[in-house]
Amino acid sequence: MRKRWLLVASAPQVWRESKQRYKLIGFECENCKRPFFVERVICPNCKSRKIREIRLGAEGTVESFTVIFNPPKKFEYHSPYIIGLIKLKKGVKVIGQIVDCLPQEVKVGLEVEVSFRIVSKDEDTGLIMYGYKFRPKIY
Amino acid sequence: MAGYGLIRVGEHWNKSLRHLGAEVYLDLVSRVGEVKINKVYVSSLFAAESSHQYLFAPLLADHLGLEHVPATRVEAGDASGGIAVHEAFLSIKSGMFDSVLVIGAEKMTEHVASISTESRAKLLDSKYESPHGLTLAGTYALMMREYMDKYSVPREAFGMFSVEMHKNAVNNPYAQLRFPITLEKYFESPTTADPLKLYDCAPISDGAAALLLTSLDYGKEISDSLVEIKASSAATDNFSIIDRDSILELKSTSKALEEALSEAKVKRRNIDVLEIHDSFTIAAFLSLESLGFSQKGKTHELVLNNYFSKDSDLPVNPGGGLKARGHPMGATGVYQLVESYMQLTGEAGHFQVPDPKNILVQNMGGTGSITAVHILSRIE
Ligand SMILES: [Zn+2]
Repeated sequence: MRKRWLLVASAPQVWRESKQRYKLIGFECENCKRPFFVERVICPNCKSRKIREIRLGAEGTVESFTVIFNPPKKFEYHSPYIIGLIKLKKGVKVIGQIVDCLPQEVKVGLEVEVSFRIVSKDEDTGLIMYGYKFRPKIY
Repeated sequence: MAGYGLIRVGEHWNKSLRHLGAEVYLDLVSRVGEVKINKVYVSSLFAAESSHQYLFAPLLADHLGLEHVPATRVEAGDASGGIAVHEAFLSIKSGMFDSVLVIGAEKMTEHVASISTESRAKLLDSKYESPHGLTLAGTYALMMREYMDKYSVPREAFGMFSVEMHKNAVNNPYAQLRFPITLEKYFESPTTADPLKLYDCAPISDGAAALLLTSLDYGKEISDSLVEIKASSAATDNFSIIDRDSILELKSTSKALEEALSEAKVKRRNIDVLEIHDSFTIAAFLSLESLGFSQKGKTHELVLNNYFSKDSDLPVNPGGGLKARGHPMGATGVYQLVESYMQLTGEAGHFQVPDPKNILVQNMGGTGSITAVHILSRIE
C-alpha cells in the first residue's frame, strides 16, 4: 500500500533539478558577487535580479554532521547514514550525505570531495534520483 | 484572551481529528458558555496528510454547529498555533470582529513513526535538504554538533534541561510525559540523530487546544478571567539552513522578540515566565539565546545553576514544555498560550508559578523559518 502524499519524487521535478544536482552548479549575484546555492531570482543580499550560474568545484570541508538513525520511510533501507553540512571552497554551504567512511571517521573540519551517486530510489515509480554526495578526500 | 478548552496531550488512538477539535470546543463552552463567535482559525499541520482532509476548518466549524461562521486553516509548520493566534489577534485589532475562536488540533499517531518522520521532513527545503535524507531532528542535530563544538558545552547541560522539563510535566494534568527522568536515563536513551538522544526530542503527540480571543468590551461581558495580549508578532528567516550565515542564530525569533518588546513596551526584566519552543533541547538553548535571556554559548551555565527551573526568578516552561507536555505540532502554540493564560489567571493548579504578571511565549516553525512571539499580561 502506497501513500501518495509521501515524499514521492516526480519525474518533471527530478529532471528540472538534475543539472544542479549532477554538476553542483551554484549561483552568483552579478551585482554584489554574493555566491549562493539555493536557486533564486532575486539576490538575497542586494535584491538584484542579475544572477548567473557558477561552478562550485568539487572540494569542501565538513562544517557539521549527523548520523540519522530514525530515517523517513524512503531512506529506511540504508539507515543509519551520515549527513553533512558541507562548506564548499566558494564559501557556500550544501547538505549532502557523507559516504565511503564510518561515522567515527567523520570530524568537523574533515576535507571532503564530491562523489556522484544514487541519492534515492522511488519504490513505486522506479524513479532514481542521482546527484552529489561527499566522501573523505582521497590524496 | 477570554477562555480556553484543553485535553491532555497523548496518544489518542480512539479519537479522530474532528473529535479532538470538538472535545476542546465543548471544554471551552463549559467555561464561557455558548458565546458569539465571528470567525474560526484552525491550526493543524497534518490534517491533509494524517487525516486525508483538506478544508478541515469549515469541516470543524460545521461539526461544532457554528453555522455559516467563516473558518480558515493556518499552516505555519509547528508554529501554526502561534501564527493562528497572531492572525486572530489582528482580526480583532482591525475592528472587524469581537470574538474569534482558535482551535489547534493535530494527530501524529495515525501512522507509524517513519511516516511521521517523513511528514516532518517536509518542514525542510524540499529541493536542498529533505531529498538527501535529512530529517527535522537531523537538522537540529547539525546545530547541536556545531554548538557543542564551538562552545565546548558539557553534554549533561542538555540532559539537565530535559530532566527539568520532565519534572515540571509531572504537575501538569495536560502533559503527555508525566514522569521524572534522571540524567542516567537521559544518557542511556538511544540516539535518534547523532548527537541528539531520544530525551533531547519532544515526543510524537496527538492533542487539541482551544482559545477564545475577544475585544476588551466583549470579553468583559462574557468572562471574569481576562488576559491581555500585550504584543503579538511574527517574523521569518532564510528558509534553508544552508542560506544562513550562522546556523546557531534563530533570527526569526530575535526579530519577532524585538518587535514584541517594543509593541508591549516592556523590558526583558519585566518578564516573569518564559514559554519557549523546546522541540529539541538544542532548540531551547538557541531560543533562550536568540530571545536574549542568555548569552551565546553560555546557556549551559544557567541551566546547570537552575536559573530556569520552576522555583527560580525566571521559570522556563513550567508545564513541561514541548519536551514533556508533548508536541502536537499544529496545536502546540495554542497549548503554550493556554497554559500561559492559566498561569496568569491563577488556574494552573499544581504547575502554578506564584503570581506572574507578564509571560513571553515563543512558538517556532521548522528549523526557525518562522516564529510567533506573544507577550501576555494579567489584567489588574
Ligand atoms: Zn547581490
